[in-house]
Amino acid sequence: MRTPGTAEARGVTQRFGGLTAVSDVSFSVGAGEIHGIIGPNGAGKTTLLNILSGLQRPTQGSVVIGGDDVTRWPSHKLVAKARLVRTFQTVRLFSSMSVHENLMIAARIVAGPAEARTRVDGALDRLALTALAAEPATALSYGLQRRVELARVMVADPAVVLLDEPAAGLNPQERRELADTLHAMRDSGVTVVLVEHHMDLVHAVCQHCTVLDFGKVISRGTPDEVTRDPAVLEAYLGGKHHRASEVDAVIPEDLEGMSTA
Amino acid sequence: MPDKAFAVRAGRHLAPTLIAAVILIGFVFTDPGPSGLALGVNIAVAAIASVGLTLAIGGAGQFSLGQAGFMAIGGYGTAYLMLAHEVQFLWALLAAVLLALVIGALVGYIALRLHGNYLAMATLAVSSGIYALLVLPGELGGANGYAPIPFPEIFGHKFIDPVDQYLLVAVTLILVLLVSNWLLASRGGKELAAIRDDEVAARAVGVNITARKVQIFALSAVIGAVAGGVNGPLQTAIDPSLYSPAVSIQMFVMVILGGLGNIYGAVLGAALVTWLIAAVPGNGSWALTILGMVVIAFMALLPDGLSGLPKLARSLLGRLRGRTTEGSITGGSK
Amino acid sequence: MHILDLLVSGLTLGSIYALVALGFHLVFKMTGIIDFAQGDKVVIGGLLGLTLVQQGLSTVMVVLLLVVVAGLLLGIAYDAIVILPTQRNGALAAMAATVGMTLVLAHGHHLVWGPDPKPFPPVFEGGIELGPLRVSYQSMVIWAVVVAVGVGLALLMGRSRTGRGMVAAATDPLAATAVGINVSRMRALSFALAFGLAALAGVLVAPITLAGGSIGTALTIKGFTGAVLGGLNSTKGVVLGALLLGVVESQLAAVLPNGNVDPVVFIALVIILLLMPNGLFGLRRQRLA
Repeated sequence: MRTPGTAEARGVTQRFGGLTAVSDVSFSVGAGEIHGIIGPNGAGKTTLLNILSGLQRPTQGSVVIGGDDVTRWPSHKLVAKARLVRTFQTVRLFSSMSVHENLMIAARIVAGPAEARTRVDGALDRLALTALAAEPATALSYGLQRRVELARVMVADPAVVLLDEPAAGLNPQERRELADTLHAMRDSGVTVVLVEHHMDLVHAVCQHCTVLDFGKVISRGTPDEVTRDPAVLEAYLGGKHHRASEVDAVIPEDLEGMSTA
Repeated sequence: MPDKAFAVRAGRHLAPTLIAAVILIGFVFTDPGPSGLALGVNIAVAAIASVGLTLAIGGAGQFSLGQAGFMAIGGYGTAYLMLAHEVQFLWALLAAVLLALVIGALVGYIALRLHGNYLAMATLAVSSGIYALLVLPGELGGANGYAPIPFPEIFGHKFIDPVDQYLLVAVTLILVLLVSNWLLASRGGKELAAIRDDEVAARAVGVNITARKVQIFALSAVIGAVAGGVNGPLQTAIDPSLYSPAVSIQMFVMVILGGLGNIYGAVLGAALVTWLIAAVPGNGSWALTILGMVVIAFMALLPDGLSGLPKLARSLLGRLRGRTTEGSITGGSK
Repeated sequence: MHILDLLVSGLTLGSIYALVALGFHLVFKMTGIIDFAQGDKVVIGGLLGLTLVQQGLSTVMVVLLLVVVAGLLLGIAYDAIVILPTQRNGALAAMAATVGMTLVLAHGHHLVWGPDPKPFPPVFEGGIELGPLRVSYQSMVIWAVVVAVGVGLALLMGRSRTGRGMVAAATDPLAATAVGINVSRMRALSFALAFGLAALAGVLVAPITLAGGSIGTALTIKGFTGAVLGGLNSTKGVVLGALLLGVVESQLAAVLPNGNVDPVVFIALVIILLLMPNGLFGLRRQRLA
């Protein structure tokens, strides 16, 4: 009994001191669609995802999920009410807990004990993790940890899922499995916003893409359209800018220090 | 220090609480005499307060040096209502504990925004401020103390006999251990563990971090107030020195010796510190000087506290067998 | 009391806080640790001075000098025994160790000198009258010491090779090591100064407050309050913040019933930490000097 959500960014801008990490970015994702956010390093993709998931407040602009303006919602409300969940560029599992406990924490946020257990068992089964349920989560291989993180997303029964480079560190076989999982998600009506480097994955799963460079939208369209767009080629290949990792250095990838209030 | 050092090890099994209960109740049958029972009361009271403090330090990583302040609210609150307004013991205790809940939640909100050293200093200041207020001459007796507080009475039974008095405190401690255990194993306890592991990830899966941290801090204050509120009437007279900042520091030491987050360790730490202060001659000066040195030695060699001893033993055994041990004794790196 | 009299006593009180606050500043800057035993070092300094006086040393300057030297040495030992071995286990372990140290200092001195505060003969007797205002030589000496220490530290940090080394070691220990600065010596120097200045404060304040007793924790909190009021990262800031605290505290004491300012100051600390964690003078990113 879920109402699939739409996800929308309206004129989102994020400044850190003098630096504008995200500048007037707008896009909208229809319900049950997989939307890719691509762009070179330091383009502001992760910052944008942090804003969409409520870990960061934008300087300007708003985020609309399933029709609600959620810009000022705390992240726990986003999960409980807007059914929006995310993964991280580097996997972030709870290190003192087993795989099962990692999923259970997330499931219990949105469901009662019995229902949560059913969902956790279901997700473990679907991602072939049942045999590893009792293992300490961070003892698993990187690829498996990625899968656990994906399972942790599924148990929340999400309407909107934000994935930050889920294919990073995966081998081609694992990438194909990931694409299958994403297709399955979409088929069950989940909206997916996918930040990704691997264009093969983007081509395989995304209906539409938004391309960022230096925090601005430089192109949008289907994966085929944007890869043919000269502006995009320029952004990826052009060496005339200082495309150092300066921007990355200033943007807090890690939000550890942010106030939780 | 690694997060694990502060992890509350929630026992799914209640065996340790059962053992603690057997020891606590069994103590009565060892014919301890009035002075032994008085020491027992002091140990159990300190243990209750330090279990509470452990929940804040181990549960949410909130380094509080202010537990004596909450004990003061419990002690003076209960005593004042019983003496000045002739309120029944349990109701007086409840009211005082509710006050501690409110103030604890308030400090808990402050604690959200301060970390480590700063929070420790701020809570020490709160505890010192409460102490400085109690020393003021006034209705609560100032530095001379507050008396005579009636003995507690529950359902018509008056706790005058030293054995009864000890049992009252011991049973309170057992209840506090049970509640703490249950809580740490509950959903809220698991979410606190998730916050300790990775706060950003916990936010992302929807854990309400503000609520959880304020809740555990307020609960820690409540348990401190219970310790003070049960003890006050048993002493018939209380004075500010029972709740001085020095007592807050002693509480912190009990938790550190017990292992920063292990509730049974906190009980052991409380017993050790209280017993040493009573047993070593010199009005506590020798005992506390030595304990200070022990704290420094622990922090250098065994930051997991007494609960790190098994790990230390294992590592030493491993070394004896000539195997290379995995990791350092402390498991900690900078 | 006249408002100017209160100003005089406030500046004297603030000067003592300033010496404590400078210790917080030096240690924090170098190691990121807040030393909870900072106020207890003051008590030790006063008692050491008392012992020297009781041994028949009557030359004030010699007593001050000997106490400062003892403080410097104790500071080096303090770093080597308490801080260095515990800091390996994290900043919080080191913080807990300094809490342990408060017990050692606060109760250890009872074992040597007894639990009761002891009268301390005035170091400098007499004073000058400026109309209705009377300023004791004791106060003037305390002010002079704080000015001298403040200027001296500023010069040390700003001008000397050692001072630049301290700044470098505090900013980036690894980089400092790479360019050949002896970082552990710079650390030792910071801890030596922190203890030395606190001990000096102890001798200066003992004739006013008595030597010994249990004022260590209160001094720790007040000195820290002064430091964060001005900005824990700025040398100038901690001195000015501590002076301001002393002056405000004296004025408040005259107004409040029973003169009990402690609860007000302690609550003020919490508010300062929450609302202006950078202090009055620490808004910009400051260097040690």
